[in-house]
Amino acid sequence: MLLLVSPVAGQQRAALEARVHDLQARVDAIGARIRLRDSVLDAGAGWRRVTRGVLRLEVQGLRDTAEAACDTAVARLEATFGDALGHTQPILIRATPRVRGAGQINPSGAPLGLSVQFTGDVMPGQPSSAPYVPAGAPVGELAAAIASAASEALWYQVDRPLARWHPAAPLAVPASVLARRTFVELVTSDFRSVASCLGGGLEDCHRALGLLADPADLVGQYAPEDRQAFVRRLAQGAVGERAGLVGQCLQLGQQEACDALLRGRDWGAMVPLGESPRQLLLSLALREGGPGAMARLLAHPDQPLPARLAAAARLSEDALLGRWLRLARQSRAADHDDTPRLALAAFGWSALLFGLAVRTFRWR
Amino acid sequence: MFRAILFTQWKWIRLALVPAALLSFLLPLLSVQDLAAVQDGLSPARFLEGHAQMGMLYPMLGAMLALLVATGAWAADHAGRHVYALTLPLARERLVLLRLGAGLVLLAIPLATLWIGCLLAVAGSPLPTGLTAYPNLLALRFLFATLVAFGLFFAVVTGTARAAGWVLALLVAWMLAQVLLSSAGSRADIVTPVLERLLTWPGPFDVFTGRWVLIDV
Repeated sequence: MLLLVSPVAGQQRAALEARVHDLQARVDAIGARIRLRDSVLDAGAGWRRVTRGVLRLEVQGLRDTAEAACDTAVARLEATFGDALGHTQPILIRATPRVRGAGQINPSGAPLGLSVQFTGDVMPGQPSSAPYVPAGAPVGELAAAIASAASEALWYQVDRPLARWHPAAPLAVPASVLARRTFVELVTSDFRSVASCLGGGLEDCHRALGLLADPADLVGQYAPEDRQAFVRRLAQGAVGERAGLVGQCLQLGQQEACDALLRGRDWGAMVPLGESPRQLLLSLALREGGPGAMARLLAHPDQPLPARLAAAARLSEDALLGRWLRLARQSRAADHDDTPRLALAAFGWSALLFGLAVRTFRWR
Repeated sequence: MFRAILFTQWKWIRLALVPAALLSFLLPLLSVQDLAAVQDGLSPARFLEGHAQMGMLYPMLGAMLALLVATGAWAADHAGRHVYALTLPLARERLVLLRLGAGLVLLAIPLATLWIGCLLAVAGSPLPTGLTAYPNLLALRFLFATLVAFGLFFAVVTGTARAAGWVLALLVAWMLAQVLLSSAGSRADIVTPVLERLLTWPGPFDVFTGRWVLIDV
C-alpha cells in the first residue's frame, strides 16, 4: 500500500513545490513593482535622503536644513547613547508634509510634520511619540524632534533588558512631575510591596519597581497579597477559563487559582509601580551620575538592573533607592505646605489693590 | 450707614449672587461624583487626575464672583453719574471703604457656601486608602484667590473710565506687539516672561495656579 501511495504523494509534493515557487516569484515581482512605484513617486515628490550615522532622514526639499538638523540630532544621540550607537541598526525617519485634506500637500514643500518609520526588525510596532515640527521651525527644533523619535527605537535596540523594564528612553519630564506621580502611586497602590516600600522597606522597593533577578517569575518573587493584586489587574476582559480562575482567586481567595493565572503565560513586564516611578529612578540615576552616567548604565547589559542603575549613579543600590523615595515623599510636602505663602501673597496684593482703589477714586 | 450701603449693594446683585452661591455649594459635591467609581475599580491615580481637572473650575468661579461683586458695587453709581453718592454726607475715601466692606461681606456668602459644600462632599463617604480630604485648605485657597481677584476688579472699576481704558489699551498693545513680532519671524517672547512673573510667587496670581483639589494624597 505504501509503495502505491508514495509515488502519488511525491508527485503532489513536487507540484505543490512548483506552485509555491511560482507564487513566491509572483510575490517578489509584485514587491519589486511596488518599490519601483514608490521610488518613482518619491522622486516625483522631491524626496531626498540624508544619511548621518545611524540616521536616515527622508525629507522633501530643505536639504540644507535637514542636513544641519541631522548633524545636531546625531550629536545628541551620541552624547546620550555613547559607544552603544555602534551596535544599532539604521533608523529611517521621514519628514512628511502635512496634508491639508483631500491629498493636498503644503505648497511650500517644507517639512511640517514628522512621521517615523522603522526599517526591518528595529523594534516591534511604531514609536509612541509623533513629534510635530511647525512650518519655519529652526534647525534646533527639527533636530530635537528627530533625536526624540530616534531615541525610542535606539533605546530598544541598545539594551533590551532595560527597554523591557522601562520601554522608552529617558525623556525631559520635570523631576517634580515624576516625583508627584510616583508619590500618588506609592500612596494609592493596593500592592503590599508598594506600601512597605513607602514605609521605608528598600527590599520591597526593589519588588515594587520590578528590579528583580527574574521579573517574569511573579509567583516566586511576590507575596500572596501582591499576586492577588496582579490578578486584579488582569481581571478586566478575562473570559472563559481565565474568567473562572479570576473569580476563584479574587472572590473565593484561592491562592492556587491566582498562581495558575500568573504562571499560565508570560505577562511581560508586570510591575506593581507604573512608568513614572521607574522613569524617576532612571533619570535620578543619570542625574546623580553626571557625565558618563548613560555609558556606565549601558556598559554591562548582562548585569542585574539594580547594579547597573547604581553604577550609573555612582551610588550604592540602597542609597539610590533611598534618594528616589525621599524625592517622592518631598513632592507631597511641596503640594500642601504652601498655605502661609499663599495667604501672605493674597493679603499683601489685595491690600495694595484696595489701597489703590481708595486713593484713586474720583467723582465722575 | 454701612447697613444702608450693604443693603443697597445686596439689592443690586442678589439675583446673580444667590445662583453663584448655590453653584459654589454644588461644585465640591459634583467634583467627588467619581469617588464611588474608585470603590468599583477605578484607579485612585485616575480619579485624582479627573478630580484635578475639575478643580480648574474653582479659580474661575472665584474670579467670576469677584467680578460680579466688584462691578455690582459701583454699577448703579456709574449709571447715575454719582449723583446719589454726592448727596451722602461722606468723604470719598469713606464711601469707597464702605463699598469695599459691603462687597467683602457679600463675598462671604458664596465663600461660606463653598466651604459647607466641601465639608459635606467629604463627609458622605469614606475615602479610599491613601487619599485625604482637604476641605478647609481648599476653602482657604478659594478665599485667597477670590480676595485677590476682587481687589483687582474693585480697583479697576473704582478708577475713572479713562484709567480703565488705559489699562485695557496697554494690554491690547502688549498682545499686539507679540503678534507683530511673531509674524515678522522674530523668536522674541514678551508675553511669557511677564505672565510667569504674575503667575508665580510673589506674583499676585500665584494663588490661581497649583492644585485645586478637595481630595488628594
